[in-house]
Amino acid sequence: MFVQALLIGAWAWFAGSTFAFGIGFSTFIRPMIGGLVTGIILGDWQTGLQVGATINLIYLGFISAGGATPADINVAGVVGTAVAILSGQGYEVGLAVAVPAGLLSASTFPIWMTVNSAWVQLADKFAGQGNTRGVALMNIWPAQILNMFRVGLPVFLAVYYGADVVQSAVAAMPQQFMAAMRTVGGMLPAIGFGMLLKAMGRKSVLPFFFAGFIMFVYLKLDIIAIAALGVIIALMHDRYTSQKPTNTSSTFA
Amino acid sequence: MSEKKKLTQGDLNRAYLLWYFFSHGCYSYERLQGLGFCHTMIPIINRLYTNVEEKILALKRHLVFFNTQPAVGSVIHGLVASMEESRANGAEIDDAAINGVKTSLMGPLAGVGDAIYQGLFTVIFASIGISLAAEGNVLGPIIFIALQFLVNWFGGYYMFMYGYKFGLGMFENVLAGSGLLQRLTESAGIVGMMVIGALSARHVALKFVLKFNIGRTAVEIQPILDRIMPSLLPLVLVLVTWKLLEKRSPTKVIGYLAVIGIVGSYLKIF
Repeated sequence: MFVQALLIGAWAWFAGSTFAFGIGFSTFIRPMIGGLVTGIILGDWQTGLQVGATINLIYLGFISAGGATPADINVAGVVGTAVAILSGQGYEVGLAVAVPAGLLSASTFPIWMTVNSAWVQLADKFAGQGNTRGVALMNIWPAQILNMFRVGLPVFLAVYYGADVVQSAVAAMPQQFMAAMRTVGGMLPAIGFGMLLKAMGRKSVLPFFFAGFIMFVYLKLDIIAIAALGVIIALMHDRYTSQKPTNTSSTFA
Repeated sequence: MSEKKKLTQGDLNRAYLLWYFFSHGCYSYERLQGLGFCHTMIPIINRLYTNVEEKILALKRHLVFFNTQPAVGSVIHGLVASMEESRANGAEIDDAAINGVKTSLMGPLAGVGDAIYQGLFTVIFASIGISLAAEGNVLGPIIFIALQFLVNWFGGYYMFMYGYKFGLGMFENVLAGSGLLQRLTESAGIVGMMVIGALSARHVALKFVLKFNIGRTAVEIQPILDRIMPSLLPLVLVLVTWKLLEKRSPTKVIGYLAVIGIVGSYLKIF
């Protein structure tokens, strides 16, 4: 168990590290992936994948900009999946652990970003000596080493000690709790969509939100079909709104 | 004047690789991706500037505040690489010109990039992947990773090389005057909104289980609501959540929803 918890902690560190931002942020931090890897380490990849996908769902619309991130979805996915598998309970227990774990981990992110200013100032010093190697090293390593303690260590501890705690807590819980978790799990994806609406929902494009909703609910179209129609509508919209006044108006002159 | 200094394709590839992996290597409040940008420029600087004084100036020039969306924003790196090349060959491009390009483009490009990548690609691909993964199908995560890699790696690579190839000319003709960025943001917004609307209906689940007894007949609310509009409750929930997020932090709103869900479930409302 020690080795497995260590491996899961190491994965969480690697996936969440900005070390490999190009692949990490776009793929590895997603609970679907973290759940699968956690499942493989714990010897039940199928459950890991399914629990990870369920946790991923509540973070579907989550966006982060300029370092403001409301939940650490990487930690939520890995810890939630590990607890769900180790406690032998369903995804409901995983969800109940994932959401607070994600919030807790995100709360340490600002500390990390504050401390990182120190490495940037060290990079200033190296730049002043024309030391390109020093500048590169400052960008690559210190923040990642810090992340071992911010992400890797807490995940290791949560997996190593957490499962037992959760198991005894679950045993004391009434059946109704599971139903409540299912309800909350169904509601939480609304947060991500709300965040996307807040970021992109300008008045001029808002009607298209309802268009997409109606296409799915009443016309029962596939997501890909709706996205493709969206591209066509966007092209039409662009053509009809951005055209400069041409000679067509002169016919009335 | 010695022979003309020229960046090789290898220099540009190395620079792009550095950006792809280390754009957020040392993400800090003080300068966000500033160090990541400087790191990206190192292969460029090493090729163009041979004496130490020039190197120092170039490194310091790029160690300033910078933040954008990595894939779409990498057009800036290509653009700056071409400016540095012209400068190294004697063109009169000062620090202010280079930083002017960076600061004026990084914001609008982050807007377009986030709308396309975080608001559209990631959401659609994840929705497809999750629906497969939820059935225990390992193709879900594989397809998700493949699609994300495709748009992130190749999208970013194309933007980077495009920026280098067209240099400042592109900045003046295509980006600045024509309102292209606004049109792109608007178009991405339309597609994004439609997808988000559809996904709200698909993935947000909330139903009344509440029953009333009128006389001797039990009246359930949900079937009546379904006749008015299917998925009405999820729609209302998303809109209310959005309004709450305008004023409160996501953490608080998560708390509100959890409380509503738990209490509602215990009271047999939802």
